[in-house]
Amino acid sequence: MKLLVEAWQNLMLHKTRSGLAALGIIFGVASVICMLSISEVARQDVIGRMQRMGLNNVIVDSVKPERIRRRERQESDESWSARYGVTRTDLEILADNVPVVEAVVPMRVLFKDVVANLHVSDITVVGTTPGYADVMEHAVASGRFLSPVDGAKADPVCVLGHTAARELFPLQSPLGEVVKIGGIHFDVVGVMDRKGQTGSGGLLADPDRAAYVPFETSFARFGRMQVRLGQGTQEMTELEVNRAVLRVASSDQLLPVAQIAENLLERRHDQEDVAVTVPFELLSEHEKAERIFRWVMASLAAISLLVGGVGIMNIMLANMAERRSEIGLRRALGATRAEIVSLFVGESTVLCLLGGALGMAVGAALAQAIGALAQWEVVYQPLSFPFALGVSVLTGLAFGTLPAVKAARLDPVLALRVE
Amino acid sequence: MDPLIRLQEVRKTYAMPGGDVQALKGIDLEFHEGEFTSIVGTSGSGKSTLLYLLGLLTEPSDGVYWFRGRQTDVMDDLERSRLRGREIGFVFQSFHLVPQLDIERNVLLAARYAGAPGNGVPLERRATELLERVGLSHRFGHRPVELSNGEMQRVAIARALLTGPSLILADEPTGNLDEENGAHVFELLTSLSNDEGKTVIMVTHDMQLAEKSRRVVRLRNGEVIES
Repeated sequence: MKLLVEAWQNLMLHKTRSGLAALGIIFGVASVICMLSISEVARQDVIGRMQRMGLNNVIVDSVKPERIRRRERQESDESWSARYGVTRTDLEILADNVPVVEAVVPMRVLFKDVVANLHVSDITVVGTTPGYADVMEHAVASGRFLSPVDGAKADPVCVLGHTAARELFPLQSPLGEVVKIGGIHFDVVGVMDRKGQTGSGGLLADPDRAAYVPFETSFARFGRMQVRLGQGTQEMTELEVNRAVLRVASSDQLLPVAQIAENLLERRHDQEDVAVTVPFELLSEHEKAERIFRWVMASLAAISLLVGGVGIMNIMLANMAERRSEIGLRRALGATRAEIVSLFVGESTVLCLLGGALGMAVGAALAQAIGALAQWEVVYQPLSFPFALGVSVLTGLAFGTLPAVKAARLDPVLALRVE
Repeated sequence: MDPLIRLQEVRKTYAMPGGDVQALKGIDLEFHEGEFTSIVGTSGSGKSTLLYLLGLLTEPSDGVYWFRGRQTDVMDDLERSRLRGREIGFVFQSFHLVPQLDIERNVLLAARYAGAPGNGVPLERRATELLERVGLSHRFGHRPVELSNGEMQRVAIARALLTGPSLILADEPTGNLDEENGAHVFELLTSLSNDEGKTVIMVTHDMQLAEKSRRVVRLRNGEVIES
């Protein structure tokens, strides 16, 4: 401790030089903190999205075949209709034939305007079953979720997502209010909790910006066909289920279940219009990529600190040359070689310690600034601070040793001849 | 009485690119406590080498050096350094004060490695007393850059005395001073020997000063020609 205090006092005798020496470490540590924070934000975002899709779920998505995509792109004056994707019959077959599936929840996206208080919104309308809330782990904030009775009677009721509720009813509780979906009145019976974006892209990516209606109601009130109007033409697509979520009892069964579901659907569909994904598997893949990413980050951080360390070493070498007379004097006053080594190593360690501490503050501020610009919530890896500080102190020790040893080896007689 | 310092057949050889250079060639000398000695000689005669060897800053290539009856060439770096810090005070021609420290802290630097002299007087008080003794009480808190050369040398003498050493080694202490200041510094060094019984060994080119000292050692080409 006494040594560090003396080192600090010596550094304070040469404030500018010390400050310049510490700059390399400050920016090195700042970049480590900042990079680790950014990677942590990205990691948590991806993991969150995967988790929100349900890690014990198998996702079966309807995929628009290339044939229909081409048709849509063509400028044509003819009306046409097409059919693809997962059907209600598929759901029954999956529920009946795939073992260990606890629940099958369909999600049907309807392209309808949603109107409340004269405000027209383009929030997503999703037809689904009561099992949705449980399978997707999406809790109800107020009121209730859809019930089996709603579906059985094809009642015009809906439950609003967190964002959708605030968008449609900014000043009042939506419960008991009426929204018009595709021109039909729906009673709002519940509002969901905030869930956050899921890993799936497209219309189902934001469950907070959705209105949930009973699956059966979606067919009873809006029919089977999705109609797109052109100039004097109609493009009709029959898509019964955009996504089916299969809840599996245990994660060990996810891959076999996905395989069985894929085989069953492949046999029933003569076109490639279904895709089966396992979020858990995606997460594992992501974690592998994450490990590589971290190695890259760690390498970059190591290079930053190496550059900082070399800077410290250069400044300490210059420092040593400049302080030859002082080194000679200290030896004349009774300093041993080891004490001269301690003096210089102590100074470089204190420099790196302070540089590290300042670097942490600068890194945290940079991460906050980037977070504010990119509009994301900044997350720090808890271990990144002690890690960065520890590495910077080690850098000081490692790169301060060579100049210190050189200083200790100086012939005091020659050193004292320097004026 | 046993001498404070005894040198026996001491040689110092420097390895140079053009071949070895013998700076000291078999020196036999004794220095007693309280003695004031001037070492004189032309440039390259080995005066400074002898002084730094006496100060344990360099080791003899051959021969034996006893300090207060202890053989120094068998000591390790720690033992030599501690003996140097506690028993030997240095005064240099170019003062070697740390420019960023005020004069009190420059004096206190002497105790950094050697520790307090053990007479019970707090170091800060002792530093103040020594600065008063060398006539610098009006300069407390000043940095070396604010002092004259004579004043800087007096700070260096105060620093050399802080740990209560028995030997003062002065390398051309008046070399950077005018006549008046040189005389003042010489008087101080003389009083250390006369009043406090310290052994003072001074290297000088100034023959007039040297003649005033109790003993003169004359060197030529690394050999003692008068002692």
